[in-house]
Amino acid sequence: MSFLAAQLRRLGSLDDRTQGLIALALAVVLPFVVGRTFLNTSLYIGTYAVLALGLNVVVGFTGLLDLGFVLFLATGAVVTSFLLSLTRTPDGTVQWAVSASGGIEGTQIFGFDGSILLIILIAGSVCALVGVLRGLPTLRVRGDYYAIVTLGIAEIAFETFLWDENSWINFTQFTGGAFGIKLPRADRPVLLGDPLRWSSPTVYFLILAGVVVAVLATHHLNRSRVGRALAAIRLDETAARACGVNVNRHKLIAFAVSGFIGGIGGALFVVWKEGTYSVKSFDVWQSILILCGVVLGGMGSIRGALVGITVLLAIDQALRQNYGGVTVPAEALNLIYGFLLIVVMRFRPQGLLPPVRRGRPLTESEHEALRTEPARLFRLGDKDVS
Amino acid sequence: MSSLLTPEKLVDALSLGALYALIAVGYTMVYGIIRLINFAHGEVFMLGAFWALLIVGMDEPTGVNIFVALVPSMLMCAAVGMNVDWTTYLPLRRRLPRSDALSILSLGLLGIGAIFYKLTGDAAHVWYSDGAHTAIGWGVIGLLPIVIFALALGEKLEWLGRSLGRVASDRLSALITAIGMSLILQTLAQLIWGAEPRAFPEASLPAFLNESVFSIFGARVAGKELVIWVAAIVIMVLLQLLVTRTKIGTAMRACSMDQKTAALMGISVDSVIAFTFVIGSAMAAIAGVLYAVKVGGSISFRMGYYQGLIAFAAAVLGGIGNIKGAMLGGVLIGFVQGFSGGGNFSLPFVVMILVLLIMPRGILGEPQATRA
Repeated sequence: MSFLAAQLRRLGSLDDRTQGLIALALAVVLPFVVGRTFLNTSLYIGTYAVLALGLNVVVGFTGLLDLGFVLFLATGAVVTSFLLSLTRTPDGTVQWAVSASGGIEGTQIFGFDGSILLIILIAGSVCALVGVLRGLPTLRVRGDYYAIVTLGIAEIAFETFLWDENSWINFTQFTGGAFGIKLPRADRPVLLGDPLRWSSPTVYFLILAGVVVAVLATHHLNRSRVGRALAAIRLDETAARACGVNVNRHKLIAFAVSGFIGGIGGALFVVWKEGTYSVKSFDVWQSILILCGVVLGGMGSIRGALVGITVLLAIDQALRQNYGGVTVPAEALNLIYGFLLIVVMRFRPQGLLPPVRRGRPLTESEHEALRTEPARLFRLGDKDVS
Repeated sequence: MSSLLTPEKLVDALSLGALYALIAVGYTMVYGIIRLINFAHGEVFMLGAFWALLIVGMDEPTGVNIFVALVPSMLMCAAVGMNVDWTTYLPLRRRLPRSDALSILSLGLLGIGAIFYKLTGDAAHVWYSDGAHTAIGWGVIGLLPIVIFALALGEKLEWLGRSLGRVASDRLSALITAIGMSLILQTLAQLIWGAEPRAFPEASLPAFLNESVFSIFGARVAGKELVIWVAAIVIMVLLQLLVTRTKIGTAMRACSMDQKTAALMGISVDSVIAFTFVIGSAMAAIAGVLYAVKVGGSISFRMGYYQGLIAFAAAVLGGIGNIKGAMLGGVLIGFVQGFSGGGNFSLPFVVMILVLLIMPRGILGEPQATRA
């Protein structure tokens, strides 16, 4: 036991790059050693890990509580399935049908090999735009109001997606309405000559690539000048403004990045679901599920978001199993999530793996200098204040 | 557009607005004092209707009038509200080892109990065939040893908390705790009463509720609308008197201005906060029962989320933390809902966001802190 603890501590003391490479190596080996059920779970976790990393940019780095992140998941997924179903009919017109059983006669516009990569980029870009558009009106509202406005916008979008032909715009032709989206088998994306089914290893590596891109992007964002500006906004918005940080601009950058990653998550969601899902499932509890993952792992920490969502979804999957005829009712899962949120907030509000304080570690001589002569900014009574 | 403004819609809008105002005041009072969005408040509103249903009896009507059932429902909701404060928010405000132990254990047992309940048979069947009072009695007796056990375990749990490396909690933690509490209460209601909407028995709804009492501008006003209007106005006046004229009201206002100074003046801040939860929850219970009356006696576990969220939008619209703002926001949102036909869930949010764009703190709101 102590040997294991020592090894874990050694692992924790490695730098970010080495830890990331070890995790990546394990993830690459994983599909060759586990069974199919486990593989499907890991696709689920991978998709939501991308979403959690996207949410982490706004909640963790910028310190704004986003309760409507499902908007990006929904938009990314709908855009992806729409693009996949675009078909050029023999008479030259472009048509689409997201829930047709047989599909439309003609050639699929995004039917070429590798088109899914292009579609993921488009979905991400659309969601980045949605993020900025959603962000513009929220720039003025602060604190708790931001959480409520994002929640409200997600609810408005949720209702709008179900608009049928009686409304101004018929959204059900894109979202499938209450019946959901079911892409025809012929419209499945192809990558490296392999039609994407969840049992195919290509899907696993596509989602893994999505996670890696999201990790690298958020890691570098956090380390950049923008990341420092976001940290300043998180700690004190007024002070950041006073220090010359362009608060609105940096918030919009955060919203765009968060939306982009969320859109990638939405596109991967379609791939994982093999094109069959319902927009009805994109309700507020999806936002809360992703938020739970980020909070459990530790807001503002990338490895935290990964570990948090993995632990949460692993618990979720474990509870859904049948143990010798005894199953936990599906409704009771929410009970466990609620309980988990309260307990984590009570005993470990910083999460399982909170972000490490950044900055260059002091050198030996600087340590020595600090020990011998503490830096003084000013004196209050007989106390040094620094 | 003649169809947009009809007297019938005006009547509908007024009673919806009155109900939303009753719920919104509960949100806003708690926010005014501890700066916390009490997400669980909508669930307390939903429980208010279900407690009343429990007393009037669902499959075997006990013959109790729905307005008589209102009183125990208010008491139960007040207890739930206080429990919500004690189990979830008090431990975040003050680090009491015993409140830790109590909150963790009571929450855990609630969850395990509900799952066990579901596994052992249809919950509703157990409730109504054996008689609700037996179940409640067993529940109370069963709770006593748990409380004693929890008190004994308090010190251990405090040690556990320290060893897990706890840091001081902030407002975001409280908000997420509130979401967790809301999730728990909603799921419990679903487990106990089922996912299908439940109907109040005919016998519990007095006949005058659906009879026309008088008419304005040619629209008939049913008894239920009149009851809602009168009840809302009386409660709002009483609340205003309570907040402005009584000692506890003064203490509430003092706590909302500055808790530390209020504590130095000899006010028991925790008691005042618990009292705020009690008052808000009792009002939510009234709103829950009146809502059931308004929709004809059919209630669902989802109403705490849907109607609660709309009422919350009303509180934000009026400026959260301000009681008069909540009343105003409730009536405004009621009008939006009433005139749009009622079924639209997103329109209140559209209105709320539009108002926040012009007035970022709501109509009568106070300045919002920059740090969440």
